[in-house]
Amino acid sequence: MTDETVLDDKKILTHDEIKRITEAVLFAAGHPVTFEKLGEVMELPADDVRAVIEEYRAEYDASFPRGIQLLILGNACQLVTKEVFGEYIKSALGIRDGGNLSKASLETLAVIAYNQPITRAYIEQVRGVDSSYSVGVLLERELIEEKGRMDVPGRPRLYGTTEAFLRVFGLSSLDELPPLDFSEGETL
Amino acid sequence: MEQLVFKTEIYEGPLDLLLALIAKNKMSIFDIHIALIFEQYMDHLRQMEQLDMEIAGEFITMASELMLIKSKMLLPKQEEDPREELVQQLMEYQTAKRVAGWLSDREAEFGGRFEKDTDDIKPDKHVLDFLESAVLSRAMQHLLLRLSEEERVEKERPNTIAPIIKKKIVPVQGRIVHILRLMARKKSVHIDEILENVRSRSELVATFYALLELVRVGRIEPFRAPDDETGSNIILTLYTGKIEHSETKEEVPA
Repeated sequence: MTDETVLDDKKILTHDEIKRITEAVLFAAGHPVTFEKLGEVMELPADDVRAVIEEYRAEYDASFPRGIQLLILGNACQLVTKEVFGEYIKSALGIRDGGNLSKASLETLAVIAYNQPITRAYIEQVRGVDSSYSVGVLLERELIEEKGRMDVPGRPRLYGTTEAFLRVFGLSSLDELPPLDFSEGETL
Repeated sequence: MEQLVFKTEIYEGPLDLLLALIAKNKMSIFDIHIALIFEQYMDHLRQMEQLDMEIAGEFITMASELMLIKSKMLLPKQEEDPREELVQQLMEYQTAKRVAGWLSDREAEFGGRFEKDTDDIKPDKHVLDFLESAVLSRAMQHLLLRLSEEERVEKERPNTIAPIIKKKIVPVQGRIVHILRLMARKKSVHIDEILENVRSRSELVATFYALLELVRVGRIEPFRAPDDETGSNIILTLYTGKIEHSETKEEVPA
């Protein structure tokens, strides 16, 4: 198989080849693929692969404008459609609009994003209301996931954001969340 | 409802309501006039009651906290501001609200991104290449021939008494269970092994139909035997992975 010959020649994988292999893997995978995994299959350090892919992301649209885009999501990357064409995709595939997140869900997500991993009790303390429904919605939408349990009595679940969270909110990593400013006391 | 009360705003919780009241009174969050806010807060709860809205326990808890703070404020000497904890809470909640607003804008902008599921791409297996209807009908013909031969031999045997029940009805479901049970034991089976014990046309049709159904839902996978020339030499393997939209209800017996 031709794929094997590419892998056999791993020592001379050029940047162009790394980019093409990445594109092929991402296309076939659909979901986000970690740099670690890509490095593993190409037998290259993950950081090297990441550097090439970051370069590739810049070129991805420049060389030939496409309907899909290469996203970097934390420690992974993914091929997804461009947000501006969302409406066309929805009508082409007959996708009903799932609706945007409610105010309550967005608040819950905000608390989780900045404090993860975090328990539901903490979320409820910040919001001052029961948040089990919102947490359920976010879990179902795969914007958050369970990140283990806290080592205290009752072992409550800890929640954190997912790569889908980064994708849906147009972020490459959690570092891109806006910095919090507690200094001003005025209200909204 | 006897009287129309207009209240358009729905608050997410007591903190949300407090922030709204503080903003309405143009107060600083660091210097809340507790007595005034408490009064308005209680007014709001009474309004909610009039509107037959269910008042969540959180609102009541906050009311009692406000009352506690209010009474502490009356004490002449205070070590620390009794409002401090509330201010902290309000600030944290306010931040969450702001971020929620920011996230909402981002969602509107980037929510149109679509990802594709891996399952949409199937590895290019040779399964469908050879499983044409011609191949299957050849296998079927082969079996029908064998059956009619057996039936003929049976009829010509002199001493047999004609059975009272001539046609036994064989349900497809039963054959599916039978095949799955056989496959669960052996994992990989030649098609002849499944069909060799078939004794009637009805059973044959049911068995064949069961096989097609199992292939269709992906429960078993047909492969061409290595030395296959006639096109009827098919090996079936049990698919052990997860099947998402299985329409057959039977489970593989343990």
